[in-house]
Amino acid sequence: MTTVLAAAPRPLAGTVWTILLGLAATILSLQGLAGRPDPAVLFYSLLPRIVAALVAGFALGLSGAVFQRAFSNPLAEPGLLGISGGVMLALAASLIFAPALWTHGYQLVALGGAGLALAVVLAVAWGPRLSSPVLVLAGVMANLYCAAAYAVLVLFNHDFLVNLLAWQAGSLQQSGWAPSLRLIAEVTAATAILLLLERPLRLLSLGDGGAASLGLSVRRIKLMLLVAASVLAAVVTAEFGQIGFIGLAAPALARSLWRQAQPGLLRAAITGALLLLFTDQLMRLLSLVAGDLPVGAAAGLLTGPLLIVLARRNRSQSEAAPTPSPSLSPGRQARGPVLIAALALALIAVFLFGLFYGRGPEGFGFATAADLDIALKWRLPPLLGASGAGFCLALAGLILQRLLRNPLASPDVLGVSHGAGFAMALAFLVLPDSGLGAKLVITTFGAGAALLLVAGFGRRLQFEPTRMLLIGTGLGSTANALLVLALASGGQRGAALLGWFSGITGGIDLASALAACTVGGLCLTATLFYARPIDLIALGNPAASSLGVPIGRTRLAGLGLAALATAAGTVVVGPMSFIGLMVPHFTLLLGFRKTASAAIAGGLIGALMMAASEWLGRGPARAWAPSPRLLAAPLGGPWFLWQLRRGGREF
Amino acid sequence: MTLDRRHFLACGLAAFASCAPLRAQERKRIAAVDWAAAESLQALGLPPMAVSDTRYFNLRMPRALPAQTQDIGPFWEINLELLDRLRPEVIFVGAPSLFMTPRLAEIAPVETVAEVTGEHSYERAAAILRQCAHAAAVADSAADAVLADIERRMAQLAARVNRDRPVCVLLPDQGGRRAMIYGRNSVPDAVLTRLGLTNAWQGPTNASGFFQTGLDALMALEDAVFVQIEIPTLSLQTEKALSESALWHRLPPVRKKRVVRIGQFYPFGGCLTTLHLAETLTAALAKPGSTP
Repeated sequence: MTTVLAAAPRPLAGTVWTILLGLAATILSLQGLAGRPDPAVLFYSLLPRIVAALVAGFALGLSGAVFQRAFSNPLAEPGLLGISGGVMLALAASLIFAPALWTHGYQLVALGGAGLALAVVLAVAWGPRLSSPVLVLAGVMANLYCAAAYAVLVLFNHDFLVNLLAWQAGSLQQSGWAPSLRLIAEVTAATAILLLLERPLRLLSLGDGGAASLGLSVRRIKLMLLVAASVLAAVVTAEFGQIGFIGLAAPALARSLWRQAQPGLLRAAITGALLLLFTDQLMRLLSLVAGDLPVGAAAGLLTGPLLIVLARRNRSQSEAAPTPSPSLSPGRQARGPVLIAALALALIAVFLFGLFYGRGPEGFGFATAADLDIALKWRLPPLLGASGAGFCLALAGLILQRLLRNPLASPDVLGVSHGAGFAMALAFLVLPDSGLGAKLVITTFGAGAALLLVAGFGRRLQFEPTRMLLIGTGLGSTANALLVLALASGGQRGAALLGWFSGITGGIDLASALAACTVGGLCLTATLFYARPIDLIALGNPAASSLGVPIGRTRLAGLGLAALATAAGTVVVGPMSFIGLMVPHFTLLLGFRKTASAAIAGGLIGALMMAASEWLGRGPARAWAPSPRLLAAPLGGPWFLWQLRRGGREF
Repeated sequence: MTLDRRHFLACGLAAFASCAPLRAQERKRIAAVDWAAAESLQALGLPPMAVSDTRYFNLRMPRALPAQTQDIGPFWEINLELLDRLRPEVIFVGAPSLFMTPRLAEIAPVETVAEVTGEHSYERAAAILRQCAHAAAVADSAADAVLADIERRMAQLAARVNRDRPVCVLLPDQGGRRAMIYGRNSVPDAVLTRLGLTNAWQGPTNASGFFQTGLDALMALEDAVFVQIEIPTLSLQTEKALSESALWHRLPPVRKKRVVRIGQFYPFGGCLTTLHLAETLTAALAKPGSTP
């Protein structure tokens, strides 16, 4: 307790900075009020929009601060426990299957979806201590699962295609007071509960064991905190859609403004309110020429660079290690070689089956001799490409999670897939007729540029994990925001781009597919070469350097490998996080500890899942083939949650 | 009344097209990924044997496809294996499809159709029809005849349409907070111009002629008639959201009850879409609600 209190110096600087931020936001708001004389617009649009931004920002900042402290992870954000995905899926499903339900109270539908997702996550993680790593993994899994199911719903119901972007983007545009007033009531209630729980939250950050020894019922407190913070995120999402980044950036900014490792919850909340107001008013100014720019997506334009700056500035908190990687925990006995052989056999079986069994001219069946040409021509490249991409992404995720010692690190965390996606979007909108083969070159170039940027920012920081994650997330959110802006001018091309983002493999040619497989093979070889230093770094820097591991160089090599593998995978299946994020945890649950064996097993699992998804996508639907990226999460998700539930106690 | 007129028109065009000197065995085997091309081919009396996303095409386009038309998947992810098995002789695509799935060109020669949105959108639709006729090996005179017929219809509609007020074609979102407006370079704007109407929205637009904005931007359109696009699957939500939207009810055209509705259309469609849109607009504006 005393240490916590002692760590609260220099409140003055924090106050000054907060006031400055508030002043900037106020000036922008006043510009809007001064320029528009029409009283109806003023009262029903401008004023409620300011209130909405303040309340939503407050809620997201508060919720983000609670999550980051409860999990001691700077990447934790309000939607973490399946909330954002649950809300989105519930709203879309009710719109399509039960519009009456939606009409009579979409807020209830949204809360129901959030509640369901949260219940699943808690059920998976339920145990004597409500273990944080299991909670986080189950939450991320639930979000990915819901997002994939949502995308499938949208792809099969075009009228909602426009809403896909609108919802994911989150706009604070207002036309009355009802949403803001509703939100104020909800946020006030949840905030009261969270502020009452602030003291126990501080004790929680001593670690689960430490808090328990002080006589705290860790499970009950954690449950109450997470539920209240999740409700905050859910009500904001229900009203305004997904407003990302604020929940991530506001606590980080508050830490920096107040020069505290753990500023009070209220400080983070107020920072969030001002940050969102400032961003949204900036978007309002831009919207006069560019059309309504959803602040949720565009927030990345500001918060991205902000995260990068914060990561580079704050040396003091840099050594605060994130949650230890679950790789340190003991587990079931590894039956290494046997399991790897079984996985390889399964991959070959699925591959051959996918190649020869499918829908021919007379319905389902094995390809006949006459049919073989067509089957090989159209089924081989996608299968090969999907397998290779799965292999690459799984490998990239594995390397990143071990090197950065963060179980939430995935290939898109480095900003590499966003870089590829952004380059793709730009090329698509600027030179749409470039056609053949250009796709591969452009995405590789984008991924490479993102990697150079990350490496450039990270070099002076010795590629220190926590900050690399912030830099990667920052770059990713900036690229994502630019992408949304590019899509806003898209129309028909925007829809085609969405297709790429949903991960098309059908159009891939044999050369690109073979390229992905080759890159996967090369990266695996290199990983095996670096396996021992990576193993040691995963144990912690002191241990590694005492054993003579050159930490900076190993990290650089590892990050380079991961980026290369990510680029190869992203080019084929589009940006996807499921494989890279989850497969490394699969391999752990299966008992693979050493980097060498885990890399082989992880790559095989990734390839197996993508090959199976690819076949399944092309099998049942007559003409419509949901891309393997969309199917991978629904296919692998439940199995993963079940494994997590079984193996959770070992974390 | 409107239905009859449209029906008559559709039959007339079809009858005309069937007079074209083409027998079934001379027809090329055509697949169309791009819908503007597909409907141009329909207008020429050559409905393609395979079209992308047929179910949605039939929901959204003015004329339904023949029942035996093959669905080859959504335009952003064509089922290439299926398409190859159908052995098309020519494939009509928009530029995006070729960028996304370059392997289409391995199946058959690809005819890339320009986008209909942009400057001179109305002329673009005609150019697409001519291009389709050319690629499908139909005499230019057939295309000219179809276009002349459409022009004649357009002239009749333009002579009859109610031109009292500027028109704003808009699609409100489901939250009742924002709207998509069709402005310069869009297909609806081209149709308004052809009918001699004024588009009330003269503000900025994106490359496809849309402008997504908050309802506050509509406050300045005091004289306008709102033509509200209704998407059947979403209308329930939109209606409820708008009824609860305080700002919507304070927009001058809404307050003065100058809101008319039309069904959905495809904003990247070709000649048949423009004609159909001209008809629905003329009919909607003729309703008593449209004048104070």
